[in-house]
Amino acid sequence: MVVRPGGAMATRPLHFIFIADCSGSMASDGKIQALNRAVREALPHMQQAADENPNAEVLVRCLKFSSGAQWHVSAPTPVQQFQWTDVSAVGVTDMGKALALVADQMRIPPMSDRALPPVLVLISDGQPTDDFSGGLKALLDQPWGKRAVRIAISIGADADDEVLQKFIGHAELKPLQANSPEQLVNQIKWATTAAVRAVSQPKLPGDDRGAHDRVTEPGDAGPIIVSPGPPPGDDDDVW
Amino acid sequence: MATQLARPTWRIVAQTVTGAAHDRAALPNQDAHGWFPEAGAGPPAILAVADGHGSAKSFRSDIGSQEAVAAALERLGALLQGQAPEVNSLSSVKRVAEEHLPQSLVQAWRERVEAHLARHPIAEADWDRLVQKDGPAARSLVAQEPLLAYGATILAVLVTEDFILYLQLGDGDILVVAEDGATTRPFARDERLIANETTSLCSRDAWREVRVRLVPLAHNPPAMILISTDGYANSFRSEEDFLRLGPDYLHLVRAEGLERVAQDLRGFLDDASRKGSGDDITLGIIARAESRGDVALAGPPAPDERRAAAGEQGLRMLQARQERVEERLAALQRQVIVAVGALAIVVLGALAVILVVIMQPPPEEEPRGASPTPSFERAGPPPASSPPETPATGDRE
Repeated sequence: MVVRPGGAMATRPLHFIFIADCSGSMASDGKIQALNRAVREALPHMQQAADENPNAEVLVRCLKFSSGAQWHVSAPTPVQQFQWTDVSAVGVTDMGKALALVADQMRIPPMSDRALPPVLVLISDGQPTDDFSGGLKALLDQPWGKRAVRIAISIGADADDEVLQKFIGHAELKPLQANSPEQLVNQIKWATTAAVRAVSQPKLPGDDRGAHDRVTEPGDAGPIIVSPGPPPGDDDDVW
Repeated sequence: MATQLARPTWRIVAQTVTGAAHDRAALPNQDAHGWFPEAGAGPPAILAVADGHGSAKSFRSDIGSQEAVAAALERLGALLQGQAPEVNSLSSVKRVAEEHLPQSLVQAWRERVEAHLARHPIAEADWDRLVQKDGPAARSLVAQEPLLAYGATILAVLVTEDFILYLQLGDGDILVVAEDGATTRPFARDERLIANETTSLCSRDAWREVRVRLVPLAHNPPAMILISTDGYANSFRSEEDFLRLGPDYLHLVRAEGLERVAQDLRGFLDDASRKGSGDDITLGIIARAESRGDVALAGPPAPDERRAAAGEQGLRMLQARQERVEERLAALQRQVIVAVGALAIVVLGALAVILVVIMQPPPEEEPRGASPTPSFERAGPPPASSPPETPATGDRE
């Protein structure tokens, strides 16, 4: 039998990072509980979406920020094995430090140049209390930070949408609004499944469409602009 | 048995497979490849591989990649034809390749796809599918720049007796494999080309992104050149795992023969797409062989074989030199024999003349008015008064 040429093969890694606001304000109105519940409920959908594309290996991490920032789940964990441990809320909103920590992980290495665009989901209900711009710059200075699919979920009326819009970095894409626990569940479900379904297609230099737009159906090399649409329960806002 | 001197020849095989993800989505293979000459043996030899983008906007990229291959074969072929007499040195070829080939190639591709577009205008159904997949803005974009529909990359290698020319626009990989299996890239990796971003034939000023490198073949020609679309490299865990293709394919070809490897390529590439990127994969191999009949690609000669080959060649040179010396000696001998023979004849002739003169009786007085008669040419029966015949040695007075 002829031995296959080349070294070890692998599907392409798709790094997915939750960046969760765990500041003290998240403790009010049950936001942090809603966040914990939303991620738990989204996980099976995310796993299903990952199953639909066997040529991508979805690896999940979580970073939390309040007074400072730290990895909640630091190891890139295959989505099928990923388990959510509840986060709690206390402290201020050091979003800039969180982005700087993510930036460190967007270097090559530890990232591979053969990876699929990473997906960063920033969830926040407030305004940064540290150097947000410095953290964002550090992130965008990295090749994979700049090319990441950056999604923001704005919780409640006090969230700083302008800051979240800068994080997204795409004029046509707005922060996803979550004004109730149900909306938060739906937005996180969408952010996880649609983004995980983002598979490869070339982006041409000069094409101002970012990776955000290249969210596709599984196995479809053609891009589909997937929008979450009006989430159910609009008339049931609580935040 | 006479040994024919080895002359490098280059043979081409290639294969393409539809990606596993494309299979799942019932999408066509958007890669293309082609080579020159048709027999797949040179020099000269050209191999071109292209990767159609396959995005919603590039919905004709399977055509675009085919036209990219055709344009590369055409323009590299033209470069070859231009070698004589106008382009007669490596530096001239290098200059033409670097200064003119990028624009020439991109222009050829644009003309080809524009001709296709003229023959086959975009149907409303195509527009509808584009809008459905990518939104109305995509339709506007493609309407403004219809060549986006044909977007593709191009990789090509031209091998002649004197040089190898590498050409690349966009992602994909060219690997150069040395005799010992060491595998390198002719072009440094373009750090911009991650996250499926690529330069493209359909980009504005695409010719500026065409990379060209000409390498003389005077020393250390590679044993093999591999050209692949990015779906292959993306199927390996790391760059090191991918680069192992070089020594592995070299070993396989030497052990099994190029034809056998060509038969196995589809399986190799299918396996890679399924276990790896899921993308279309195309691989072309240009393998060097020493051209003694139909001998398959041979490995580097062992040291003993090299010495034996060197000894045989030296012996042949000595034999040829000896033959030339012998021929000269024989010619000289023939000249000496002729000269000695001529000298002997002259001496003998002179002796005969002397003897005749000595032994001849005193001449009788000729009758007055009689003209002297040549004695050694008989024009008829000698007159009674003529002297007895003597050997013809000269005139007598």
